[in-house]
Amino acid sequence: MTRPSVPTTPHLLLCDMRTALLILTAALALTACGSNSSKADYDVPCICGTDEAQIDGCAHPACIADEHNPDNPDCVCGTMTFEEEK
Amino acid sequence: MKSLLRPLTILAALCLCTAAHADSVRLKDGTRISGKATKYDATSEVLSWKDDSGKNHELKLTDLDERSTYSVLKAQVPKDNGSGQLQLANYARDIELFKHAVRHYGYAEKADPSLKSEVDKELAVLRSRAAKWSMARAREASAKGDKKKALDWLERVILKLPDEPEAAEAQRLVDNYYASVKAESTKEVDNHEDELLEQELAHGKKAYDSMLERNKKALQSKGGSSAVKGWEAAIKDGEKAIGEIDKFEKKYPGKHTELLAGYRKTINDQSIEIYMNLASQYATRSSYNKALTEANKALAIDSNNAEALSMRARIQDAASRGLHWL
Repeated sequence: MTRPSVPTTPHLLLCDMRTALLILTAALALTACGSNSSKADYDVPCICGTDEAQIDGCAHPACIADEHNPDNPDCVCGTMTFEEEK
Repeated sequence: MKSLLRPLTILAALCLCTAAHADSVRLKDGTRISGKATKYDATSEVLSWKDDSGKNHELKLTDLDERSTYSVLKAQVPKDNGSGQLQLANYARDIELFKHAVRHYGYAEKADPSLKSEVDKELAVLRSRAAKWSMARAREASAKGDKKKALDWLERVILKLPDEPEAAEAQRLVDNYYASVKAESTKEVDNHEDELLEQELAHGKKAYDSMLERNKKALQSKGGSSAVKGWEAAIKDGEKAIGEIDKFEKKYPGKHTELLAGYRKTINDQSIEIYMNLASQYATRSSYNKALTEANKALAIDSNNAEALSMRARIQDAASRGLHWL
């Protein structure tokens, strides 16, 4: 008599899924934290790097808060941060 | 279910990559290095930089372009260091980051009120340079045949730097661009062939033309209060023009809906522009509350107007930080 084959339980798979979902949630939360658009109730594009910004300034929420907008490589708002050397 | 795992993991990885935003520096030759600063040695003026691949670079300040140099220097000067902020402001001004410079002058004065006279002196230099620089942008745009942009730059000089000699020159030049730029903006709605519409909206058209003329004259006027009066009258003209459209719509429901929407938009855009001019005029005089009221009036017409949103944010920023306006 052969032992009946145990049906594959999705237990391990579920663990993987849970882990993936956890990472995804964490990543989304981090992205949301990194997004500067949530800092204000208005949404205007970052115009740093244009001639107009040199005179008018940029009203992107990050720039108004005197923070760097990492999505615009031409943004010089905010203060350069220094990563600790390990 | 397993098929879901891979895309989810990839998505998560992508999100994490986006979350870990990197800074970047640019060298004088235009090369951009993405990564993170690790150290700056003020004595040797060397920036230690770790690029995205983990490689370390020792970058001399003299090898960085002006904007990256400004970013590095800015990180070294605390906001409460008055003389440091003054030097930083002068540096920003000299590399034509005028608005950044104005902010640093504000910080300098706040940190050390005794610097006020020096700040005022440097600000005067800034205004003079900014006016010349803006006029150069107007000329550039004009040379490229971009009349709208040229007019935008002239208006900037008139509204933001009214006491500079270039403002008078800009006022004279407005005539060269204004009529054709405005004609371009109404080209689509002007190209109709309906006599009834033309007849019924004759008063509205007259009011709109008057609105444009008043706006132009206000831009060209010398005194601040006469400009304000002109713009206020122009707004009333706009309201009258909108009233004529309302009347037509009531009289002929469903007729020329699209065309009338176009007229309405043209008038509303012009009204927003005038409210922005008023806001700018008040902000230049540091009347931030009045400036805010005008920006809000523009937003009452179009709550998503990017220029009005930007203006309101800039006014609120200048008012809350007690900064100078440019």
